[in-house]
Amino acid sequence: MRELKLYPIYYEGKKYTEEECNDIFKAFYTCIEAYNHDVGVYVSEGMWIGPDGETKHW
Amino acid sequence: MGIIKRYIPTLVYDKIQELEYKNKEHLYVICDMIYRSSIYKNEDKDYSNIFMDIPKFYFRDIICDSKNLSMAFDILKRSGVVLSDGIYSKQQGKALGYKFNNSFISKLISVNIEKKTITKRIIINKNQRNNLVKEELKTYRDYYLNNFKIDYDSALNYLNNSYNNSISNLNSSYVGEKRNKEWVKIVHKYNHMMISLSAINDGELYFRKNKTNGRIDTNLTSLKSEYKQFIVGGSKLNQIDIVNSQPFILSLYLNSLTPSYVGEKVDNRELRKYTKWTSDGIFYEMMIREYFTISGKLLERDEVKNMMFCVFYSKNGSYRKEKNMFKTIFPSLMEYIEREKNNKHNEFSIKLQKLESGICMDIISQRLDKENIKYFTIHDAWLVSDENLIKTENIILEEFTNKYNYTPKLKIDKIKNK
Repeated sequence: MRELKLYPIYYEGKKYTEEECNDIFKAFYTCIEAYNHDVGVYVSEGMWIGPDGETKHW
Repeated sequence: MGIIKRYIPTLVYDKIQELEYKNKEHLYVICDMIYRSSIYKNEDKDYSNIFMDIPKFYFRDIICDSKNLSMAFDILKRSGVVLSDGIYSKQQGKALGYKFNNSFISKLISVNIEKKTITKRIIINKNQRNNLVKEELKTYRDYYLNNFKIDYDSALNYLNNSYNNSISNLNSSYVGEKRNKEWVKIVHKYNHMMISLSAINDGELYFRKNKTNGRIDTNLTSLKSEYKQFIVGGSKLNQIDIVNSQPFILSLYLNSLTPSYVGEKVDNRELRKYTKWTSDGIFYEMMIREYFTISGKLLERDEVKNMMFCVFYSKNGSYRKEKNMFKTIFPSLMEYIEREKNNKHNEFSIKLQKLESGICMDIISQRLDKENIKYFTIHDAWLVSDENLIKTENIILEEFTNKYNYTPKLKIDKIKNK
């Protein structure tokens, strides 16, 4: 069983390589299923973070 | 083997009916995968219908015969339904990019896949992924896979209302080309949510233990909060959260180090203050108060929360302003955290996430399994029914006491049906 690669990611029309993604995002984005296309990855306490570092309560 | 549902844009479906092509189910599966991969591969984030790089193996895992796969792609491209960017580079790890032609963008409809060779491959793929969990997680996994359901009709109704509102706003705000672009985004957004909801409704659930941080990722953990109200049994469900969870997890980490080691690196009074604030569940409020006393500036609760995520999880050198705020109140703690993140900052965040999953999943959730309490988890939170609420709360607190000798504050919210 092969997996899809984590990177690159498209966000707001921009392509993000792993190096370009926000540090905090990368700390939580460790598998494809963890990602939600609306808000990024879940951090904690209802807070999500996108590849550009933008945080949202969602 | 039964029937499996796939989802494709209505106009694509209509076009496929016009094509003289025998294996129409191959076309359905490919079109579904292009949409589905945009959800799981994380692309098309702004819903503007861009090319998505999808490796051929992704399709070949379902349609094994290369000749059939090539023929299906060929007809989809020749008929103008699917476009490819034509850029492939093995050296640079670039797979061909695919997207639907804008003129076929439309709301999704479900199609039935009955061909046994395809349904079998879809099921094998799904099961392979869900079976990658350790023995001790199987009780929760089996419960989750058999019981996590949503009231699909109500959820879809809610989604349709939201779609209709967006369309009516669009009609009053945009005209011409700008309107067309925004319309594509609204339809894509609708379709993405519809696929997520349909996956739950069709029992296409995933359950993955994240090897890096130990967290369990499921359809529930990535579900938009406003859709929790549609979880079957939701009106009787309660969500139990750990108050100021991430700061509390750091206190667990610091207090698990040997006292002499901590004494050398971290001021003991600071650590006691930090531990008290986090375990009393008043960390953010106290930070606001103390920072105001020192600087005269009033911070919002969310600002403090963001600040803490920057302190814990970002590279040293970034987010200086946020880190200086924290340093004003906890100077030796800030120094300690920076030392921990000196080489690879991600390792420290992974340590904290592992600690969280260790206590939440490996200890508390497994105890709930042993006590035969049914629950769903969202990393550092649990959803339980009214009758199990008090017992679950007690178990959470008991397990924190057993392992760390102190407890967090818990917050309980009823999942409300709107």
